[in-house]
Formats: sequence, C-alpha cells, structure tokens
Amino acid sequence: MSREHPKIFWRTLLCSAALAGTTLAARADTPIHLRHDAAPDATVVIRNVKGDVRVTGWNQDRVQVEGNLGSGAKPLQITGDARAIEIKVEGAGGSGWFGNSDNMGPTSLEVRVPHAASLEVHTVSAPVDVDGMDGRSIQVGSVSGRVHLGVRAGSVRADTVSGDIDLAGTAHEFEAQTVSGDVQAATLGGNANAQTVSGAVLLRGGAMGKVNLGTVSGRIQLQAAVATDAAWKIDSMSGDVRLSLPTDASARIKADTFSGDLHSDFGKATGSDHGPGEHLDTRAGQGSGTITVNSFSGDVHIQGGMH
Amino acid sequence: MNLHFEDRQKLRGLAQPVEPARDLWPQIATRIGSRPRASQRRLHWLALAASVAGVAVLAGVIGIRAMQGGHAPAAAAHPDALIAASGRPSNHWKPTDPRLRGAAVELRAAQGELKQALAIAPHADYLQQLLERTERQQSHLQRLEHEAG
Repeated sequence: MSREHPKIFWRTLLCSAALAGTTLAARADTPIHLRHDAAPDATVVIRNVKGDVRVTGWNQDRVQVEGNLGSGAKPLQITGDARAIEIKVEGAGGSGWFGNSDNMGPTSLEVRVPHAASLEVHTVSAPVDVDGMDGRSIQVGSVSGRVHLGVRAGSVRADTVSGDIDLAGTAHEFEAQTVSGDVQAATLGGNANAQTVSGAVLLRGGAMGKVNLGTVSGRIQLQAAVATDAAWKIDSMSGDVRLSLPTDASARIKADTFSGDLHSDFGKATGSDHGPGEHLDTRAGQGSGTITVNSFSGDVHIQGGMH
Repeated sequence: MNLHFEDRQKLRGLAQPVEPARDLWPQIATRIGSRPRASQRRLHWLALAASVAGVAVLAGVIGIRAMQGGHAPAAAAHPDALIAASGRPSNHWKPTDPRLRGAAVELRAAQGELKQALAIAPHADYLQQLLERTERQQSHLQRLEHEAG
C-alpha cells in the first residue's frame, strides 16, 4: 500500500460519514412551532395519519401547534381564518387521505385551542387525546388509534374501526361507533348512542334520556338513572347485556331473549313464545320512562340497587 | 347461552389475514416458466374452445329468453349485482389497506351470523337493524378506503 492510499481511505470515510449525517438530518423529525389567531368559538380541524394528536383547551384566542413533523411529510401550515382553522399533516408525495403514509414518519402534534372551540380530529393510526374543552361540538374519527376525550361538550361524536373510545367527561349528546374497539364513558348524562360489532360498551352516568346501544357480539353494561322521559333501546345478538338501575327507577321495562338467560330484579321473567329464551314486561315505579332490551343468544341481567 | 354462536365468536378471532413469511411469487414464476410449450399451446386452444363454448351458451340463453318475450326475474340476477343496485355493500369486498382488512373480515363474519340468526328468528326487527348497521359500517370502511387513494 502506497502513502497515498491511507489518505484516500480516510477522505472517503469522512465523506461517507458526512453524507450519512446529512441524510439522517434530512430524515429526522422537524420541530413544529406554529401559531394562528382564533375566535373563541372557532372550528378547528386537525388531520394526522400516524404519530399522535393531543389537543388541550386554553383561555387564549389563538391556536398553537407544537410537536415534531415526521420525515417525508410536507411542511406543516395552519390554514384558514380565525373562525375556521385547519392543520393537516400530509405526505410529501402522497395523494389521498392516507396519502403515501408508508413512506412518512409519525408526526406528533400538541395543539392548544380556545376551550370553547368546536373541534374535528381525523387520524388513521394516531391516538387522539382531547382535554379541557367545553365547546358545542367535538368530533373524532380514527381507524386504529384510540380516542380519549376529557371534555365537557354539547355534542361528542367518536368513530373508529378498531380503536377504543373513552369519554372521561360529559356530553349532552354522546355518539360512538366502532367495529372492534371498546366504548367507555364513566360520567354520562343526557343522550347516548353507541354501536359496536365486537367491542364492549361500558357506560355509567346520571339520569339518561334517550339511549340507543347496539352490538353484535360485544358485551353491554349500562349503569345509570332513568330520566323521566327516558327511552332506552338496547340490542344485542350474542353479547351479554347488564343494566344497573336505581331501586326507585321509574320505567316500563320490556326484555326478550331468543335463547339467552334473563334475570331481573324488576318483575319476573317468563318463558318466551318465540323460542327457548325468556320474556319480561314489567313496570318499575310510576313507569314514566321506557326500557327495551332485545338479545338473541346473549344473557340479560337487569339489576336494581344502583347507588 | 347458545354454544353454537359462542363457538363462532371464537372462530372469528382466528379469521385474520396472514401475510406469507417470504415472497412466493419468484417460485410461482419459475414454475410457470418451466411448463412445456406444447402443454401451454394445448392450454391456449382449450381456453379458446372454452371461451367459444361459453359465448355460444350465453347467446343461446339470451336468445331463448328473448324468444320467451319476458324479462329475467329479479331473483335470478347475481346477488352482488342486486346489493350494488340497492346501495348495499358487496360481500366480496376485500380492502387492500392492511389497516382495514381485519375489520372487513369481522364485519363479514358478523353479517353472516346475523343472517343465520334472522333465518331462525325472522321477526326479530332488532337483528335486521343490527345487520343494517354493520352494512353501514362496511360502507363507511369502503369510503375510507376510497379516500385512502
């Protein structure tokens, strides 16, 4: 080996290292620091494919976005005016909503919005956390990301394919739909509509008015008081249904199973005319509300004594 | 409890798409390439003959129906065509996006179970409503896939 060869070797090595460093820097996440004026009741729409989205309500009339933009994403911008704002993460070369996301790194968004704003969040696999908001409407859609909502809003709507939905606040209208995710809400009040295919529906709350719960094979548990004009409808094919009501509940209760067992602390279940299942038609208290439970092969338990 | 449906639920958990551990195509391509040319030529002729026969049978059926002067009854049409015409989602939909594939399998299984339950209890309106909801969810997934581009 001549004297020149080690020099060439080291130069080549240094150049390669520099090139690798540049490539890594280009692929690394880009910090996000964006701000935009916003009306207190603005509508804010956020779209992110993967990574995570955290939204927090605050007392300022502006939207602030922090976080890290994934590699392969277009530079992030806040678009729209003070009343309608959009924050959208897109792949640089992608078309369509999932937009070439295989080539895009995860983007982490931490967004602060006026607490009374209406919010709409759409993700594919990114989990969504929303806290401290009390606007009129919160709507979240995700494919596989879980959705956590610590909010107090007029209307809350969450829609996933496999992600779990968790409402840790209150909503006058709560609507949740998922295929295999679980739906949970611990402090409900007002009206609720939750539909799953195999996911569980686990709801607890105060006086509930209009309730519509449905599942094919997931289990349903509802622990709540019955509002005066309540109309509850609960349908299941093979999932078990468990209702916990106050002892002084006032409702006409009708329940039918085709082949599942039926146990009730209110009235007495009898054999069904339509199959090996059971049937219940009874009045609790004054019978002001109505509760209807139908199950094909799942068991139904209606318990009193809820505190 | 109806054990039959419980068993089906467990089976549903197994019905997940499985990706092969390695790329199978090169081996398949090699096998196709190694097939003798004479055999390929025979296959071409057989395919051509089958196509001609198929067209002839189809023309015959259409001709007979036209001579009868009547329209084909709705029930004779392909069920998928009927579903498509009525705006209902197709049972043969298989999403290309892996994030939607598992849910599509699950929805199809749920629809199958609901149809079985409806066959046993045809007057159970709530089962029909659950079936319609799963169909709406399937349509929603199809829209998502369409938006995925």
